Amino acid sequence: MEPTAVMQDVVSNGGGIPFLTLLFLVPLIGMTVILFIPRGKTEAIKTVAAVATGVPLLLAGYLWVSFEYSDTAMQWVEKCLWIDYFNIEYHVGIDGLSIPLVFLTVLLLFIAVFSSWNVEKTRGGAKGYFMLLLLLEVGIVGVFISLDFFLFYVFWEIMLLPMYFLIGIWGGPRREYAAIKFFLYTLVGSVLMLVAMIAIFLASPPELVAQIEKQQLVEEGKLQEAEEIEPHHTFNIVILTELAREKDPETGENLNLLAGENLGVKGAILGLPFLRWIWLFFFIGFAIKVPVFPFHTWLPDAHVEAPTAISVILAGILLKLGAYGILRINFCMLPEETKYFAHFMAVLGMINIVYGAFVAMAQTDFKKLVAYSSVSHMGYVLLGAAAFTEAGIIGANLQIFNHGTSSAMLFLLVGVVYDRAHHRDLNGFGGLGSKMPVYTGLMTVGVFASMGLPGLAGFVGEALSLLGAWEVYPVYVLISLSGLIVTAAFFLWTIQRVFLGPLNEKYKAIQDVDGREIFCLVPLAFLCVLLGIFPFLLIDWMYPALKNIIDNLM
Amino acid sequence: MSPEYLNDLHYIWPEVVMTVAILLALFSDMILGGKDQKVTGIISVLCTCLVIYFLARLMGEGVDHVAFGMVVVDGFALFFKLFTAVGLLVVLCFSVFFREFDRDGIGEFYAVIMTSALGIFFLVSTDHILLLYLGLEILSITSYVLAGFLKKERRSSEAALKYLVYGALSSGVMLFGLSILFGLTGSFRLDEIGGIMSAGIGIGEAQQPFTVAALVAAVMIFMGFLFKVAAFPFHFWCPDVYEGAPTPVTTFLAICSKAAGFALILRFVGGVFVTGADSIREWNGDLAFLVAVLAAVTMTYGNITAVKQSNMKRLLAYSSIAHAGYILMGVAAWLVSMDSGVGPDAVIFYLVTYLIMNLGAFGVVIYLSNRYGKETVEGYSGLGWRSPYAAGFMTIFLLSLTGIPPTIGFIGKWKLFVAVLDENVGMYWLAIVAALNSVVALFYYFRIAKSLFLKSEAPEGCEREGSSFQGAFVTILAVLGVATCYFGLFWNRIDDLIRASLP
Repeated sequence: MEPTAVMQDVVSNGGGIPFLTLLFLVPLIGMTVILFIPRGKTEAIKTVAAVATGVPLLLAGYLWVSFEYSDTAMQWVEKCLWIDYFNIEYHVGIDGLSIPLVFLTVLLLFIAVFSSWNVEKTRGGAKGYFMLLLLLEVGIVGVFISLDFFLFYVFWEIMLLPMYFLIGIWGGPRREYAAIKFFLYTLVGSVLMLVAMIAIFLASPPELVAQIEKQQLVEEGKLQEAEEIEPHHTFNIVILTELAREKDPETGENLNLLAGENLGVKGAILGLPFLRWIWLFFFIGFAIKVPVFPFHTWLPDAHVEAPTAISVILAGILLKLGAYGILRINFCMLPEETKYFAHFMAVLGMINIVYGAFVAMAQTDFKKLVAYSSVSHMGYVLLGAAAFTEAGIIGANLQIFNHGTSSAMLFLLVGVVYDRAHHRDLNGFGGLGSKMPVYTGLMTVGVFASMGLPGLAGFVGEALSLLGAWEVYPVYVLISLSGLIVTAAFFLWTIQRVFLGPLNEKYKAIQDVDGREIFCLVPLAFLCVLLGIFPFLLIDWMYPALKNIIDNLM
Repeated sequence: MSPEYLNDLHYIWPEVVMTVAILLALFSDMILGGKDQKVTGIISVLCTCLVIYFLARLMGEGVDHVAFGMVVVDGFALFFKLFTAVGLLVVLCFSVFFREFDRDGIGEFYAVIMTSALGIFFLVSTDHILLLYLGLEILSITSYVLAGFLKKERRSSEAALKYLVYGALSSGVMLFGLSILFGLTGSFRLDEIGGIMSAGIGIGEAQQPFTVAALVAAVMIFMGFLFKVAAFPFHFWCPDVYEGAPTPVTTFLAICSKAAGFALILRFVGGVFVTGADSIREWNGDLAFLVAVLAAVTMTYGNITAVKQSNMKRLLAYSSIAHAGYILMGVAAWLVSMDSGVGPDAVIFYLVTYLIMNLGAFGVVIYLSNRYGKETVEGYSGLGWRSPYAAGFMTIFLLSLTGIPPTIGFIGKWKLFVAVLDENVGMYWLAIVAALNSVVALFYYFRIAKSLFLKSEAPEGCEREGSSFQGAFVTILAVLGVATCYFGLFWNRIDDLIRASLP
């Protein structure tokens, strides 16, 4: 692999500038710069961190505006050979499924930098914190833009280390336990995913892969390179998706090209065909991240112990990675197996909704309450997606984005009050509304958006997922509705306990939100309102890609 | 002296230089009267660099048999010599810095450890049973001496004695196996043995007992190999020896000696089983299954036992047992797939991985013990804030040992997984066992990271007096750390190197 050839390849796409590469390269460079700044110079460190997260935000904004949303193909593709022995490529690109998440990621990371502006006062100091935060951004953005499975996995794992240290060093009293629990849980999922990934790689039929690649190269006019293609397995997510989609032209049945002609195992293992095991491995890997019941137990610990900005990223983006993975990998690459497990997913979604809501109701710790409400809200994603209807999957994806903004906002708000009161006991406040009017207003927006009040973002996602699921699983939807009611109950009860009633004497002198906090909160509140009123701003971008997934499954 | 013989000399220049280096180290120690041992150390380091230079010069011009057919200088042998030389070089550097040596006085340490490496050189570059055994014994006997080099420490002497007793037993069993093999085939050369076996030993009805005898021999010989690589159930010496031996010696044993064991396994399996021993092929499946089970048990045992260890060297000893288990996956895959040759490249790649990351991990252990006199997980508490670079590199090595990208350890593990999942192999259960093992491994590796970084900063004045050369030491660690990450992302070069050196 000649470096010059690589550069040419990268630059020849994406209008001359490798936008997607820059999206994670800028934070990486920022991290390296911070490494060489002395520990004491916190202002310089923070400035670099702000710039290194601000630039990707601008880039993502540009991508959002110039995104061709009528096009179902991958856009801004950059591709070159990375490791020739296994045909691993550096291959990135975005479509309607990933662009909202990329945007959400860079936005929340930017906000996270400002919300942790005072981190130098903590025991870990600012240097390590911002380095790890930027490394985290590299990993998350990388996962959303990767189109090569190997690359996807590498980015997926890069996230673990910064997360471990961010929780473990800057976290609360039980941080060591929470950090290693998070790490172990996620790693169990990842290693199963690794096995499944290799199985999919080996299952890809070499001749067909070469044929598809040849065709692509011929279309691009690279005839000579097309000649040189030899049969090989592939990690290319686009090609794997295409193979999974291939239908018999006469009967219209799925050909199931990834069904494992090339695999070492024929027949069933413990009663399940091998490919279903593969599906399950992927699913467990992603479900732990979502988190789907019964793999959710790491989440309350991690959320409660993590510092505010990290909770924001956890709830806002990391959970979405799991949902994204299920849609991108399970739904696209293993459609037949996905159909087989549809009910299974719907039931798990339902359990998440109801169980999460009931457990949240029982919490007295503000952060834990929001954490469990996240478990509940991610259930809608699973339930909506498992219905395989247009409304369902659009609802699921709206929910992914909207939960990203509303839960991030709630965690920020909890952080604000924790900074002032140094505790999060819901029964220890009271009447804060009179002393913190702006804060109360923002909290109300966040809470109402989260519980799905019409007019705010949460409503559209939840309503559409339930509506979509209704056609297929009326019983599950009916049961899930109880979760909706409980959610409304505990959120309203929270508002009542914290903001209404007589003022707790202890907090007579409590300060309202300051400028920096408002700067962090307002963009999210704005998005909650905007997407509540104009959901099509998001739907238009996502629709073609989602339609593609659904068509494939029908 | 025939000119042909002189030509052959060209191929054993590295050995010649190494021998001269051993003598130099011996004499320099004698002349200096054991006073300034660092000089001897630096001479040894320079000589090892010279050996590496000669090896690099030979790379790519391998030949089959030289020196009356005793020595094989093929790509495989050259690769493992280079591997050993690089490992030796770093270990020698560590030894120069190692503080326990300053206290005790070590005299001929450098000469002995280089002799040990010389043993490996001969061991890997022959397919003649006699020279093979000779090389193995040079390695083993010097290892016993090395393990006991801290004469004033009881643990060190205990380690040496234990190693000697276990080693002598396994070596004897292996010799017995080799003699059976010789009795069956009448040949000392592995390739000839393979050929004779494939032609069939005995005729018709009479064939059966011979095949059984061959299998018994194979199992006995494997016992010797498994002892060297410290695989279950021949690992009992390993934790005690690793803990008791001086840390640079532990590093050498854990890396070079283990790699030599795997080189032997590859050479032996390649010579006797893969190059066409049709009559015992039907047994290959069984043997492969046996090796696969051993691999699974070894890695699980190593990992689970490591969880409770507090001493760093002991912890790394159990971790090295677990890694032997991982590597055996590749051997099992090779035994199953036979002609399609899945496995050996993964084994060799993993050894490279293992070399880099374990050198790093042991390096940090030596560094922290030099600087703070601490060698336990609990003792590391908060040291990450005092030595951020060393501890930061430790984190990279730990990631790599666990097998998390973007480090080379992940690539090594990934290749092994691809090998056992291959369509010709299809050992899915083994891949899943290994995958879940990484999770257990994460737990104990990150106990170290936790101790280093998650605890509050260690108090002032926890450093030992007079630590010197810290900058140089950290530079070595930095090189290893950067290599761990760099090759974790761009390992084409290593692939090329390995493809030129498959057995």
